[in-house]
Amino acid sequence: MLSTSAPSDPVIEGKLYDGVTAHPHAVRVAVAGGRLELSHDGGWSDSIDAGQLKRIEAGPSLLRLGRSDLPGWRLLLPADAEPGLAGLLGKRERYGRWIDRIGLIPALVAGAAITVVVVVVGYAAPAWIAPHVPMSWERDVGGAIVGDFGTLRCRDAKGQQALEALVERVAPGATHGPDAIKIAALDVPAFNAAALPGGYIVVF
Amino acid sequence: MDALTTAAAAGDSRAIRFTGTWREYLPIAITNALLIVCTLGIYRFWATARQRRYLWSRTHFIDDSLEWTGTGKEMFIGFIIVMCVLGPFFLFIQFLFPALLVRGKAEAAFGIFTLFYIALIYLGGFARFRALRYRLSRTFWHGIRGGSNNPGWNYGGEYLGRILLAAMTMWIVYPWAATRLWNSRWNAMSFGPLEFRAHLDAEGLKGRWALIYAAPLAMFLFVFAGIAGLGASGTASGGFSIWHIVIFVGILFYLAIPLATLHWYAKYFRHAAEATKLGDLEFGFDATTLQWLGLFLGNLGLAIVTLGFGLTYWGYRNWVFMVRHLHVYGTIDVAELTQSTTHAPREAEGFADAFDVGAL
Repeated sequence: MLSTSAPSDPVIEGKLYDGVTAHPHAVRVAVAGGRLELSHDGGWSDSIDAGQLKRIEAGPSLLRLGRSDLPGWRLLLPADAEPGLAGLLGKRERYGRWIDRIGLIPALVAGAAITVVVVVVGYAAPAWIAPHVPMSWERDVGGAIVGDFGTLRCRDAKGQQALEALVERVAPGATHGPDAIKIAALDVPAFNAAALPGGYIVVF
Repeated sequence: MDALTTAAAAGDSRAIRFTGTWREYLPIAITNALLIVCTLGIYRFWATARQRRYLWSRTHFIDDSLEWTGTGKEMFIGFIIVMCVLGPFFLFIQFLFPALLVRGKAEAAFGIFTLFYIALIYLGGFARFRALRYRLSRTFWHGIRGGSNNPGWNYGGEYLGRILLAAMTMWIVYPWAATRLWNSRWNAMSFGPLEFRAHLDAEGLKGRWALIYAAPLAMFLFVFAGIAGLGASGTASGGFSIWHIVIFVGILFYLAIPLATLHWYAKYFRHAAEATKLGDLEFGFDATTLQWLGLFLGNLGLAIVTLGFGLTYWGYRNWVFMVRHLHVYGTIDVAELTQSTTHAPREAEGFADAFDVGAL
């Protein structure tokens, strides 16, 4: 069977920075066998695998390429060389790898859906979770906060009885049983009261 | 030898110039804003990287554009790392402070609170240094990058010392502190093998700094004179005129000091650029106070008129402003500009993000 070779790929004039010095080298660039072939008037040449090449953001008149294995290596080509190199370079990275993979609109829709779910769950979660928190956990938290008041807490037995009697007048039976309200007086120069987790009430 | 000569001049012959347009940037601004909203803000790291890639690539220096190689992923990871370090620290202080206070140990509580703020100032200075180092390490020109081998721990200490000293003197010595810190920061940086050299001093900056103190003083004298005048004429007795004076004082107070500070910073940046060199390159910056004011008011107006969308253009406008007013003079030998051997940091701008000291 007779065959003819494909027309040879055009040679593109470019500028190369080798990443070692800032000195620019004039190079000729061609595509052959899925690789980028570079040559220089001085006899130097190089062949770069397509997988090592990456596009780098550049102005509208320029195609700027880098190498993943050589930081600072840059090949500058005229922008109109891009169609000829499209097979080597793959898709242009725009928004970030994940978003480029699924597309902007699907990413926005998916992101918006996740955002709505997070906001709704975040808003409603306390009401869902609170009834399932064991009273013993609440007692531990409340006890820790009351414990933080240290020596400010009034520990006089008669005073404590008077306070509990006050609670009993407002809510009979509230100071007895497993979910009993525990009331404490604090010696703080302020008139206030606060309800704490675990059925604790502190009166200032 | 490839010696490129640069000269600052008008139009396209300027050594550094911006070649982008707001229309070209618009798709980036819109998609960045949408993606940030739809990802609960997480995309902002990738948005910053996209913005910088565009801005750097449209900034032409002599014969080639700059290039930003930082990624959103590394900035996101940097932020997470810093949050993991600082989060427990903040949480600990948050519980420790009230616990000490309610136990009646107010001295210990305020002592720890003071130490906490001192640590924050130290970390703020450290963050500023690291942000500059990171940005230089991700900025390429002709395939060469900048950076620094200095980790910035000492700079954090120097920053803390100078800021505390300035605070102790009611900020009177702040111009000296700011200029020394500028020098310390830039003298630790390099681009390729070339080291930045900064020798900024407070000469020529003290007068404008004094204006910051003089402005409110003059304002109060003016108002007291007004009150005295009103009292003499008897028109202040109705109360209406006194309210006018209160509003007038408020407006002036919030205008006089910020304007005087801006006036100082305008000159500070001009002096700082002139006092900084890179190899044989010298710098200049020509933005006046009015031009800075135009930038800030423009940013504010843009955000108001566009109902907030204009915020996405602040970074663009700030960068363009800096580039348009920056001048570079001198020559650079590209054959001798070799690759930087400095360590390329991995933690991106986590600390700068945490302390909100990022410029862009």
